[in-house]
Amino acid sequence: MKKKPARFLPVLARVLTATAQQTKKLLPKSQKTGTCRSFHRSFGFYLCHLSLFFLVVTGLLGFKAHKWYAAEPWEEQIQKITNYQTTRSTKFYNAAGKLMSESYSAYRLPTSLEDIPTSLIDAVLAAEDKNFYSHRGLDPSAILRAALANLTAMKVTQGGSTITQQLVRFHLLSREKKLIRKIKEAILAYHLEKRLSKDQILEMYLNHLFLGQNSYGVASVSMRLFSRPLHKLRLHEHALIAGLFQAPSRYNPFKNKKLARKRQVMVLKAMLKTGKISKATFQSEVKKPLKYRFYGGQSMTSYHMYAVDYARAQAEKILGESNLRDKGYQIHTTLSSATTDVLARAIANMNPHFEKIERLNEKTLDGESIQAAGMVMNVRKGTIEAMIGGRNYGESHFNRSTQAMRSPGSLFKPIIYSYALMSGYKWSDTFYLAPITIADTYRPRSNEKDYLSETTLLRAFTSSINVTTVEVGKKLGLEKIINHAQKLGVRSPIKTEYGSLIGQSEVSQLDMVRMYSAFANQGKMIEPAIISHIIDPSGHEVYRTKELARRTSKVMSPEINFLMVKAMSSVLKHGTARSAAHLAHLAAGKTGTSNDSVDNWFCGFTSHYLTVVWVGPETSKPLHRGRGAGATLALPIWKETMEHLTSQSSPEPFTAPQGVRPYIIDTRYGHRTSRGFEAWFLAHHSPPAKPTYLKLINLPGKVLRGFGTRP
Amino acid sequence: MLVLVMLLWSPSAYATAENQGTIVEQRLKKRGPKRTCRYVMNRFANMVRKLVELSESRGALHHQQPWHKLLDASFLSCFSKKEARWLLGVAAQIRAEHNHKIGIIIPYKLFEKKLVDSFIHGAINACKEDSICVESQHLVVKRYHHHSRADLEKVAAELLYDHGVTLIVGGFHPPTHEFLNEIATIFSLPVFLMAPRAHHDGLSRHTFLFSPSEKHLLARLLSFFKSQNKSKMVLLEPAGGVTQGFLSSMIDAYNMTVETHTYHKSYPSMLNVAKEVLELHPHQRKDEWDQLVAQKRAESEELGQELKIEDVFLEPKFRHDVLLIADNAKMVRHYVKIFRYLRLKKPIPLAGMHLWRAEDLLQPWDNLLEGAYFADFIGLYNALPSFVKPMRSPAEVVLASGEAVAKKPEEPGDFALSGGYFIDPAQMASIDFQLLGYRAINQALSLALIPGIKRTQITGRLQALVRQNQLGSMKTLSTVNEVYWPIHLFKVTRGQLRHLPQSSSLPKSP
Repeated sequence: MKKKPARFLPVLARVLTATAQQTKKLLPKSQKTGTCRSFHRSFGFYLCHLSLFFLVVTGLLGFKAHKWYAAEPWEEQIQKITNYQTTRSTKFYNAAGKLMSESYSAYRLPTSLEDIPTSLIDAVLAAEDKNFYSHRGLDPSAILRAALANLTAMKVTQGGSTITQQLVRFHLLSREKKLIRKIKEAILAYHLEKRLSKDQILEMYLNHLFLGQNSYGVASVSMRLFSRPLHKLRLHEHALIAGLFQAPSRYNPFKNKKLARKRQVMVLKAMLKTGKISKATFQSEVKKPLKYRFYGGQSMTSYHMYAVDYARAQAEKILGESNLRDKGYQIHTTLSSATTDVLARAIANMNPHFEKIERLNEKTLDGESIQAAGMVMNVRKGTIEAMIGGRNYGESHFNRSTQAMRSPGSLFKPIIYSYALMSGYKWSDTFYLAPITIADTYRPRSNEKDYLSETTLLRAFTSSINVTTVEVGKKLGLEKIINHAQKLGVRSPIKTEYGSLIGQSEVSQLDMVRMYSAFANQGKMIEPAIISHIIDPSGHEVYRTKELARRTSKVMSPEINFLMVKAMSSVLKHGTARSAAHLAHLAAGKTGTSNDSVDNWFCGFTSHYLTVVWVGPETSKPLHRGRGAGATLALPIWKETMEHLTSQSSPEPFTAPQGVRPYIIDTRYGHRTSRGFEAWFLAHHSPPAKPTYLKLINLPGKVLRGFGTRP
Repeated sequence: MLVLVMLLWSPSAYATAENQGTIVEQRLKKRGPKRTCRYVMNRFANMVRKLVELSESRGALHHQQPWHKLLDASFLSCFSKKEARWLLGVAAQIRAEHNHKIGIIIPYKLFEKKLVDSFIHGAINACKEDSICVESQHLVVKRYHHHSRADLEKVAAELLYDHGVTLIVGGFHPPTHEFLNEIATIFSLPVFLMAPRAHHDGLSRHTFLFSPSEKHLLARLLSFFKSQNKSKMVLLEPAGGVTQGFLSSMIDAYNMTVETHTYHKSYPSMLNVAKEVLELHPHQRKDEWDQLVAQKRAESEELGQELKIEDVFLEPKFRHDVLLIADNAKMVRHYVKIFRYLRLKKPIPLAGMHLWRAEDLLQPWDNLLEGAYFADFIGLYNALPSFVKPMRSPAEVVLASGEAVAKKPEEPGDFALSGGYFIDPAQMASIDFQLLGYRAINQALSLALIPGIKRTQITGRLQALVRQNQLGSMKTLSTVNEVYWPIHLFKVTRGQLRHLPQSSSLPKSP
């Protein structure tokens, strides 16, 4: 606001003129002439003028002070202090109710005065304001003492501020050492004293002020410095905390132990001086060592933090980013520490292998490390129990489970095959295996050894044959498949190109969890939840995640889903995940490997748990050496995790719905046989009863025709 | 040598039937007979043993017994002129004696046992159709282990000595052809060989090739192409195939030019051949290739990308009139997929032979096969004689639980499905063998049962039919005693087969 300094000047001129005129009128007539001259010259005359001058100046100053005082929003500022809400950390709990992490912009642990030890209060009062309970916001003796000290030192060394003044200064004013600030401080302190009781002011003082290490208030700094709550601290430690009020950074023991110690002694001396402690106590307390132990604010190991970060992001979506911060909400997650530990251990156990791959691919990786990320979902509850977004949270907070977009490779294929089954295909349908060209340019790659043979749809799926997948996908229609993928929970944009059919379009791990949740949940896609409920600072539940039934959406019939599940069991039993064959009676899953082993996946599930694992270089760099694949890099992690989880949870095998029937079929030619693989069919479908022509051609010694050259 | 033969005939030399063969061989070694004689002796040792055995079972050995004469005949080449003349006289006598019986020498297993049963089923039905033939009187079926030469010789001896057969139907395995051919030569015995033969060298005039062969199919196809003015042909044939050999002898007669490509049944080999046929190798169209590479390079540079030479493809070109793939339906489908991979979009004229006949050729349909032709010995399955039926029960249904569902009863009308174009592939060979058995015995009976006919006359009659190019319902090629079967042409169109009228598929003599 622009100042208007000139307004009072005309008024002043008018006042001075009027005064002069009035003085002239009051004087005797004689004085107005000759006698007056002597009077003019007299001391009185000057004194009169001087007095008048001072009167005018004082009036002016008073006027100005009044104007300033009237203009200042004292009431507003006082209310700002009294209504001040201390920030509180947001706390994240796991499913068992154990604190996992706290999130705050400032570390605060608001504590009532009754809960603050008397010795600490005594120490603070002795150090900062020994007359706190007797003055009215200003302590003249302290001011005098400070003035003397400043004069002696010829510089400002002491402030002489009371606790009330310090509180006012902390909330409203700068630490600038100017007279006007001191005046404001004094006025506000006076008003505050009138508004609040001494205990209230002291409680605010002890809770609000910054005491170093991003902590505010005595309780928080107690945790920070000693990792213990206030009531567990002893007098000499209280003295150290009391000493921090004067200069938190300067006396921060983690930065300057000696100064902190010196200040602690000073506080103890002040306590001795004020009679709060005896000399003997002083001597004993001074000798006691100070053992610091930093408290970082979280109780869980770092790999849990990926999940916490994701839970925080979800809570921000629920409550709004600004509402969540420093409001003291309690976020209760669905995370299980035990499950997370299992997953973390499984990843850690692969470290030697990862390091070997890193060494072998040193040139192409160019110093980059192999990363791993995994997620475990409780299918029965539809909740995320574990999420590990990388091998080292300390090195990188980037959550590869939720933030990374990677090519899923064959992990995407169940989308095509489930849609094929929905469209009337059968597992026994036979395809010729030969390379294909689509749209003149796209040539999906498959193992050349597979070419020039035939395959059933089942084998194409379990052995992850690209050309057949693309061929089927092309027949079904790319747009329809993308639409089906979206229904299955793939939220990442899918490129409208044939490469997407074999997983060249990038997705997140969460997309894959949603997608496979449908297969694990009888064809109903689950929207996974990581937050179970949220409690506000007043203890009220403000959010609870929807029950499972309301977080699912039906994508396919239970019958089609069961056909897929059993085929995915075959992946474990006979297919690309044979090394986990011992879990095939309970589990189902799919491997995924993108070109050059850039991304290596395995996603599998039981009736209880769904686990997805991704392994690959940080950026999309090829792994030419070391036989990187979903089956070699990701599957071992999945296997170890699921072995542990199945031993704990005893999941039931998948039960067949009505309307499906198993057959043993030949995996190349699809006909019924007694020595093939199990495949499930809809009741109105069945595999061919007899071997096909193609099969007969391949039988050794079999003659197909009675004429002509024998094969 | 005569002494040796006399020793063999001597009753004292054959104390037991078991050691006779051994004795013969030991004496042969001691006396060191002529090499050719040892060879002949070795080849016929089993037959000799069997004949001796049969003679013994009928009484004392006597040099007047017909088997002695037969034995003489076996050693013709070992004897002197004088001795041979005498023995030939004896052989001539035995040649003239027969009982109007058809001998069938068939192995216990022809790939599968059911194929033997199929052949015999066809043979019996041919007998039933004949007004004179009585199955128990006129058909003698002798089985042998196909890997056992001894077994074969023994059953041949039984047929000749015990049954005095007029004609022998056998030779289901090419290795037996030589033996039967020699028998035919020695005894002027008509023999029908039932397996195809790669070459006709050294065949007796009494030996008739009764099995259909690719040669006939090829001849039919060539005549058909000629009628359609198609003269430039490409042949794709797997290594070891016989078509190329047949073709080389025919191309001049049909005025065709043929480019042959042989492949191994492996993906790289087939891909390479397909590229050659479609002229996709850079060296085949060098100028075009260089131009295309330059164009792609310029386009890549414009986009700021590096040219990937593996992404540069020539457009496929087929400059011939017809592409004959002498392989089965499966390999044809793989070729079609490879052609598609090589970006062939429009059908090229394809042709094939009987192994193309399978529903798998059409299902799932690929329109690159549109307009293809193939030839087969069988027309519509539902037009075959009524006795022709599947010889096997359908496979039992096995559930994953291990439970076996009851077998369905045999369904004789199975192959009437698909309008008679296709049958259950597992039945195809069986049906073929039923027809083989039927046609062979039908033909044999028509001559053997002529009252008073001598064995030596039968060959003459058969050859007369050959010369007239007419053998019952079948036709023969003129140069050798080879039976020519009727051939049917099929056209693939819109995912279905069309049986071309027989008139359009009548063969033209080269």
